[in-house]
Amino acid sequence: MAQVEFSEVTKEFAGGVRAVENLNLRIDDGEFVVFVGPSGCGKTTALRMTAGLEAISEGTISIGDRVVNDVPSSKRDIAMVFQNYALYPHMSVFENMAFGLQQQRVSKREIERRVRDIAQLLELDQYLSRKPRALSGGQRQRVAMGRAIVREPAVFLMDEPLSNLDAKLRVQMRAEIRGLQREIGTTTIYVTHDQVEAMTMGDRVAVLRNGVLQQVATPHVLYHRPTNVFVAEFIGSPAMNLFEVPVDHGRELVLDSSERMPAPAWAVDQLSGLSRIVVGIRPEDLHIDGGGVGLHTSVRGTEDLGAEVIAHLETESAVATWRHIRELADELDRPRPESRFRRGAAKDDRVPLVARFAATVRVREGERLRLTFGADKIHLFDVESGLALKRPDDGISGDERSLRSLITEPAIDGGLTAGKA
Amino acid sequence: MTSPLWLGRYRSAFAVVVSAIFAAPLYLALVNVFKPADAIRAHPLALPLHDFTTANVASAAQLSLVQHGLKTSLIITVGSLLLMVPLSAMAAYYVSRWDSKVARLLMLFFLFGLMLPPQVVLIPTTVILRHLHLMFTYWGVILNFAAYYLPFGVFVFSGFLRSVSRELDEAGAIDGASSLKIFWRIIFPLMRPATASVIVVTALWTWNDFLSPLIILGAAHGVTITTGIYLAIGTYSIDYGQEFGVMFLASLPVLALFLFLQRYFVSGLTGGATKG
Repeated sequence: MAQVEFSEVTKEFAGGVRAVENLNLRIDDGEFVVFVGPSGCGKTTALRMTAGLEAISEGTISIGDRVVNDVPSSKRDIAMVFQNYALYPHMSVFENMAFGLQQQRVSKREIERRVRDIAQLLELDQYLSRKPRALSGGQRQRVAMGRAIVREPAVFLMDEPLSNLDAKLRVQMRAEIRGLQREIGTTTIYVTHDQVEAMTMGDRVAVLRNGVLQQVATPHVLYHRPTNVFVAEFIGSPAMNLFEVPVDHGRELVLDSSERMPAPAWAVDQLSGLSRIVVGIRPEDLHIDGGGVGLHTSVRGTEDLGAEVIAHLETESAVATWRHIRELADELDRPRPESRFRRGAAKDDRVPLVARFAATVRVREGERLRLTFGADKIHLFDVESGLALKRPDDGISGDERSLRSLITEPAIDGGLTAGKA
Repeated sequence: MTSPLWLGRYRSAFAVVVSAIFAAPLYLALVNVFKPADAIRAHPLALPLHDFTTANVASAAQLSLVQHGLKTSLIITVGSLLLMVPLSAMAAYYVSRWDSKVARLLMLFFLFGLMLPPQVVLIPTTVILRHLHLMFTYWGVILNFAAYYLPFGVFVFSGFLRSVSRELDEAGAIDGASSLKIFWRIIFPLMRPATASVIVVTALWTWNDFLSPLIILGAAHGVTITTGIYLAIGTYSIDYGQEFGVMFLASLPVLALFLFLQRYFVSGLTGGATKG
């Protein structure tokens, strides 16, 4: 059992590529923290540095009270689950699980007892004499977990352990791994590119981008109080709607000629002096003519998912596509909003929006809708930096620690625009 | 890919002719092993149908030259393999897994060794062996072979290692094993196909080599089976029957080894498509 602490950790590869930049993060004993981000964001590198498979260029990583920078993997008291499981193909399930214990010179009887216990826990007891190749994907995954658990390490490191499983099994294993970790209580760092996996599994989720930690918080805080546009766009599916509007004297947001929205009280101070602002609204916060301010839109298409309806719409109002949204879409591998952006004519832009309606709502393609939203549901981001405007603690989260991280670890310098350079 | 029509039509005929040219000496050797000496002279091409005999093999086996030669060849071949296979596998592991200047230079050095014809290094080798007082000893020949075929082993093993996932090394390291243990317990067992290829090919070369044992071992101090055949021709006038018997006995062990390891052999040469 141990906490893990990253202190100003940087990884620079030969050729000057900085995979991880100045990472500061404390993971408490018994906590399950997920590193998430698009490919190349540095999450796996951070994990491999913790495992000792990658040298640390600057800063320190501690496990427990010990700085492990110069401690070899074999002496770090960690266990790792690899993306391709990395089971020893020529050894039986039993031997695979026993190998680590043999290296620790645990007695034969003790090894036998522990392997059988864990095998029973993971329902692998009938397969102990089989070779990995004679197992299904899910069983192999379980053996990889078993090999890690049986060692009773201080920290579990998991590198996209579910990405080779089919969708159904993945959902099942997600719950199983989470349940196991709660039962055993071992500190865990889990790497994934799948934000749903991150949100469903993590006590806290650390979002990384281009090697820079963007935000670390509980899934709830991450979803409702993203610190910058990147986190807002990355977390949640369908993604948050983002568009750019003019600000009138710091007091009103101009949606179009007829629709003006008073700026939220908490934002007024920060809006003074700004001429434009990025507004973010979650798809589920858009309602059909529910009163209050709204956007004039037309329906481009619908997806009936049974439990809900996803509507793809387009604004008819004078809002503009945020100028960095295409870069962001490319980076996150999402479809780009159609490019109708004409130089100097940003006000005429028709911005694509996504709304999530209850299953009972019927909308037709081509239908014109006025979509309204509650003033408290909007997120505001700076046009240049992409950073969220600061919000007072409004009890979104009772988790003091996460809120602290929200305040003290805002989207590190450079936010969105500097990252790609 | 399209080939000219005439080529397609004659391709199998062409293949048969080429095969026949290669097979002819083998055929001659094989049929004449089981024929009495006078039949060999009279009808060298005939199959041993009505005069089939194993007398040639039996009398060849009686020769002390053959008994001694087989024993010497066995000692030298097994000794060279025992030395060369683990060493080249370990060297290959280092060269292909460690990304350092030393590793790259070493790889280059081994590749260079691969290109040297044995005759070129034989005389310098004898000079070194003489200084070490290893001329005319089994150890001398064994060291010579082990060193000479080491680059070949490194070449095959390092090629195969590319198909062995590095995650296995990493899993081993995290499980607490040392590099040496990772190699012996995890990596080496997985290289079985490559090991089989290296054993078969090197055994064949070592067993069949004529020049090195002739020079290093010296005719007076011991014969291998190949130098034995050579000596037998002079010593025992021209008993063709016995001569064929000796040749048969000389090639039997390598053939047996190949048959025993062949299922690994092909996959070893093609680099082991097995997934780690």
